[in-house]
Amino acid sequence: MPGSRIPERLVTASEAVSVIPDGATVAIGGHTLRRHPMALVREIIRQRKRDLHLLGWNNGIDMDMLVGAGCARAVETSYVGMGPLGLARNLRRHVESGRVRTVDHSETTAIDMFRATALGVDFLPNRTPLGTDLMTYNDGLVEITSPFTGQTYAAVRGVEPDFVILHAHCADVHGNVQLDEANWGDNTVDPFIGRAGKHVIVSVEEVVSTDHIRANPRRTFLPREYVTAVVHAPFGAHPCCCDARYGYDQAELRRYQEAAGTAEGFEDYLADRVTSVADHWAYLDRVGVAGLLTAATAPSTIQGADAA
Amino acid sequence: MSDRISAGFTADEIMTVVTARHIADGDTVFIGTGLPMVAAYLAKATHAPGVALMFESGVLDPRPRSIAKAVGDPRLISTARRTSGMLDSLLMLHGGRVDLGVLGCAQIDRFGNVNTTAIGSYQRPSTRLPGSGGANDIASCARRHLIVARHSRRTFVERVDYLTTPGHLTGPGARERAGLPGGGPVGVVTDLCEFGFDPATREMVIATVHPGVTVDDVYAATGFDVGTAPDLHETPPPSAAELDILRTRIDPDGVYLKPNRNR
Repeated sequence: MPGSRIPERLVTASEAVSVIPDGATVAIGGHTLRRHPMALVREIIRQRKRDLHLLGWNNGIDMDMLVGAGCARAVETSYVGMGPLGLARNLRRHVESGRVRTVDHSETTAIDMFRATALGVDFLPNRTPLGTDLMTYNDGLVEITSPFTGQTYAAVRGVEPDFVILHAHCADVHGNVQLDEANWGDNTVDPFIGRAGKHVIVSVEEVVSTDHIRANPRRTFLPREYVTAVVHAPFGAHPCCCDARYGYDQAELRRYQEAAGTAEGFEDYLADRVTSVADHWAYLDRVGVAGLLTAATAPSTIQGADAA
Repeated sequence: MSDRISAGFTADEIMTVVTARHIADGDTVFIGTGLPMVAAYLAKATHAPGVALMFESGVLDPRPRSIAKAVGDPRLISTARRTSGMLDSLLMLHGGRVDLGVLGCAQIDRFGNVNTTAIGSYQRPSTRLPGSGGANDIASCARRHLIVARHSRRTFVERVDYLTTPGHLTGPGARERAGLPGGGPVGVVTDLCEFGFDPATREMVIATVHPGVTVDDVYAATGFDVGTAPDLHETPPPSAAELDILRTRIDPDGVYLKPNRNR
């Protein structure tokens, strides 16, 4: 619209990530090996961010890579694993050697820390962690009594991450973010993570017109009111899958998991895939068209790869 | 193990069949992929045609023609009664609408408390595991749950190093005192036996031993003293019909049930 003062928020991954300071809390969207904002994760590693407190609800290669690259001091989530490929090997090494602290949640307490902030309250009641060591070791879970019934609850402390990073299918330049299909798979959690952040960076497969957004309003899972920056990053979840757009790059995931078995192997992987590569576009060149198309079209042979 | 394979079925097959027998017709069952999903399909094909499978990804009650290869498999979405998302499926648990959940474990104690977080000390573990995922939510909120595990002294321990997922906590009344809504574990299915829980003590007791296994075999593989149920008997083996359905209809390619995946 001529004369519109709606700000444009389209920036490069480098610009978007450059404002994240060392020591920030950074929440990451996605689920195990699915739709994590990997282009932004790799850019954080490239810019050598340090001492981050990583938050999420169900995580995998995203947190494992950041931990392995020395970017994190703590991870706070319900799960970090490589799904059917096994344990998160960098996380294992760093936790077992005391370099990274863990704060454990159930899936729903992990969601509730974002949901509370999205609702504008500082905690939500939940019952899942009662009686377990989740309460013992997590300061963000405190036993309380209902003023109405006397029922015992765990209060889940709300968090307001300094930054949230998400990956989605499309957005306009103003930051209206959409997924191809509403209410499909894990789509229902990322919106809460997005609504909790002070700054929200969303990488997208495509940048589209606002008319396109308006033609499909049900698909908008974060309107521009919540979004700080949009980054155009096709295959930005690679090697994770991206809902109906492309599948897991099984060869790349296995290569990663093998490399992550040792600190040296992981260093070699990082050098090859992240630190020696200028940006996401150069990364796509490094993976190669054949590799990307294979990821997009190959039938899955990683059984149960969506399972938590 | 070899004698049981020669007896006509594998460890995976008997664990699947015993798990399936816990599923009642009309149950809504919260499952992941793998053995529990196969067990739910078997129950549906045999004694429980009205069972509704509920997947964490939000798929409720699908009628797939062939077995799904992942929770997000499009095969699951066709003909489902509802598709939603993670939050919605977890809210069905919280709202008390799930009858049965089925879980795995890394460590388990006599009360059915499960550890999938850390072996050793929490902040400086000898092995860091993935954490709860949805397991804590399922065991806290489902009306009842079942644990499926391979039997060893490393897994069946006197005390879990970290209590990720609540069983009966410290015994009778402990779940209620803690404020947990679900009923807790009703059984533990292993490759050697099936445990129930003594109603008076909430401690695990051997309910049935699989064909070819002795009670002493179970004692030897269990890291705590365990009693036996008053009506201890041999696990009824998989029937020819159950094995035929598993092998020819549900998992003909051996995607989930490995023919030689022994202890």
